[in-house]
Amino acid sequence: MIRVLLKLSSPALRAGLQALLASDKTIKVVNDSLDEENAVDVMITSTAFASRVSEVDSPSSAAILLLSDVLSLSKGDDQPHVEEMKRSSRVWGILPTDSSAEELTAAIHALSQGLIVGAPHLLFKSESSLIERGPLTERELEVLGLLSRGLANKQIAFELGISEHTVKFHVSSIYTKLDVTNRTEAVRAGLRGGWIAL
Amino acid sequence: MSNPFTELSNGLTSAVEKGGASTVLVDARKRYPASGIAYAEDLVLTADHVVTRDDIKVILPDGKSLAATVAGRDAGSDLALLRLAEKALKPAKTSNDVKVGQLVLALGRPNTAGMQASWGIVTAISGPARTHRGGLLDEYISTETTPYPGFSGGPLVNTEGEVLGLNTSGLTQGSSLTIPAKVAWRIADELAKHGSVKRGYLGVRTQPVEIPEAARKSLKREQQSGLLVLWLEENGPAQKGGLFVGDTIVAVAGQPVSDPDDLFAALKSETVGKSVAVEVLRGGKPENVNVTVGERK
Repeated sequence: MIRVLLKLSSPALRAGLQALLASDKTIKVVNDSLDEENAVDVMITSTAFASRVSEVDSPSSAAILLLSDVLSLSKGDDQPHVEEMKRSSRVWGILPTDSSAEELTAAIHALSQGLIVGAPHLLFKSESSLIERGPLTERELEVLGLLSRGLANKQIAFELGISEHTVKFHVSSIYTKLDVTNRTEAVRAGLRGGWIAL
Repeated sequence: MSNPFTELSNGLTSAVEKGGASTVLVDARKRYPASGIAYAEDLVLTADHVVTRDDIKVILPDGKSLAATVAGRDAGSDLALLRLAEKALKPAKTSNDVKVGQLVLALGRPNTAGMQASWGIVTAISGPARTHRGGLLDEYISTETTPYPGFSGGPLVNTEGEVLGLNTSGLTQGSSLTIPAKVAWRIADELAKHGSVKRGYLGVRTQPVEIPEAARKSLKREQQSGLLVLWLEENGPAQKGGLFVGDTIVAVAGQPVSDPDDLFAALKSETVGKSVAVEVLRGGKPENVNVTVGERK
């Protein structure tokens, strides 16, 4: 079951999305039953709302952010915010607000598998790409260090107190930033690039 | 007149019997079981990647089933040591005499039906090499043997049934290799004593850089590159020892260091807690800095 949190300021947009997602039985919108015990797999937020949310926010939202993959919906007239969000280490997907139910559910499934997803015109602007090569975030450096010790994703998740989903996202991001395709190459690149301490 | 093929066949079956006497079944993961080698009377050496459950069972050659716990493990080398509830094993006899072209057998005991085996020759003895799990293997053996399901953790034996190494498919993607007995048993000794493999730690992040011609002359040896120190851990061993950002590390404990793998290899478990000489180029001139090596956590 993929747990989705709708972090949107507009009740109408929230209700509309909830209705769109209702047809996929593998997706559960957890807004109504959210409590401290719930882990959230995907948080859907708009650019306006997300730019105010940081990793050191209030305890409840900070916890969600840490456990969630952020799928952000951008309005056509919100383009300036998109670039700002692309620089955030929490954004792994961008879709326009008029996305269909199929595009939305496909994106949620892809994000829950550790993939990056988005409409091309929002992800790519001429030669730039969503995840730029380096620098690695603090968390990614931690994960890379644990990769260099030979730990599996599950073990890394345990060491850092995060979900295995989140570890997979960090590993994907590391691979992209270091331009590698597997752990061995990532560790080698990390050592040669000066990102792993010995 | 004796039939050489019959003699060969008899020799192989005898090797399986001798090796099989110290090969056990390790039931420690969701899927099919794997194999293990008797390291001591109550300790089994196996592959770390086959141990994923807490409730572990080991089935002995005579069919007896015993509960086991993890006495130690090292993900980087893909080795784990299991402790049995009682002393019931016949420790394996090992040999370090491995040569390319040697006829060998890979043994496994992945089910209670008995031993399984495949044969081939040693195709290469290689290393050091970085593994899929991020560790660095000093040396490894490649063979033509077929790693059937459940063979990981089992032994590679010679025609006398002596264990030449531990087979595992957990260090390379899509193939199998053998960790030589001298490497595997050294790690097993540490796992038995400490539960893990200690690794030395300096607290530096580095990048390989070319050593300029003039500096190479002052080193009085032909060394093309060293490691430029980019970052020092605050109050880490290197900083406490007096290394600076901008130093180029060129040797540790007398061993030339040209890239991160050299540094990783130099920081062996026996260096932990000891003072080692770290040779650096500082301002183009060699200097020795004594650093007390920490432990990598």
